[in-house]
Amino acid sequence: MAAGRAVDMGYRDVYWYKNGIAGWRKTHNFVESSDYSYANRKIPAPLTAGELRQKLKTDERYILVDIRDDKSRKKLGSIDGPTLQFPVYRLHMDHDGLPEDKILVLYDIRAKQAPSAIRYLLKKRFYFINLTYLKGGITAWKEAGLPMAAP
Amino acid sequence: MTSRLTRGVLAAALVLLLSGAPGSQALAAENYKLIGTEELKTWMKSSAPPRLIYSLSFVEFEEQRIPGSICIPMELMAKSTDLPRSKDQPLVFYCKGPG
Repeated sequence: MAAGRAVDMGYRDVYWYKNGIAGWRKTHNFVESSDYSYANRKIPAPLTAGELRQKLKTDERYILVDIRDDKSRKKLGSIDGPTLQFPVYRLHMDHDGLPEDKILVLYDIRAKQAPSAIRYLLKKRFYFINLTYLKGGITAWKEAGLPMAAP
Repeated sequence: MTSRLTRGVLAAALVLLLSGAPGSQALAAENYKLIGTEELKTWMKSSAPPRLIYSLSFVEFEEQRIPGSICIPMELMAKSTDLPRSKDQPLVFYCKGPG
């Protein structure tokens, strides 16, 4: 948690606004965007865990892109399948390293961040057909009892 | 006994009020405080607003953010030059929120 980390760094007057953007919007407060059309852009439909499992088994164009941070990955494990690790907090710096000749399936913990990452990549050099994400994130994959990568 | 308890609660409330800190806040674990929407809104409009920091990613920050905030992903905090030098400057962190 960022507030806890600030305390650990020696900051003495630290607050956590737990309601976040969702709570700010709920009370009709204005939320900014760098690009309002991009923020509402339609994105490719996600794959369910079962659909993803099938694609990974039968279509070598599909590759997983794990956008979680190291801590989450170590704590929750990873999906069994060809995977690239591109944490979302570095995506703005590292996205040039993503392959353009594959179908990238982004996944996070609960599919809360993947849609934003998809919209960002669509703004860069990727096309609709090259991108999708895992519905429900790794949480859904695990709940479906699907294979996890060896630790 | 009831009146003693009531006095104790009133005394605690008075201490909080006089401390000058934003209103209703609970001291969470890890020694940071919680702040509500109206308190934050008022503070941001004041002549001495806190540094408001979105702690997830620039990718999400570009899409939507609270006006007046900056983005410092938690994982990049240690090397950030956007955090104030003074350890006494108030910082408020936020992310997407529940749901």
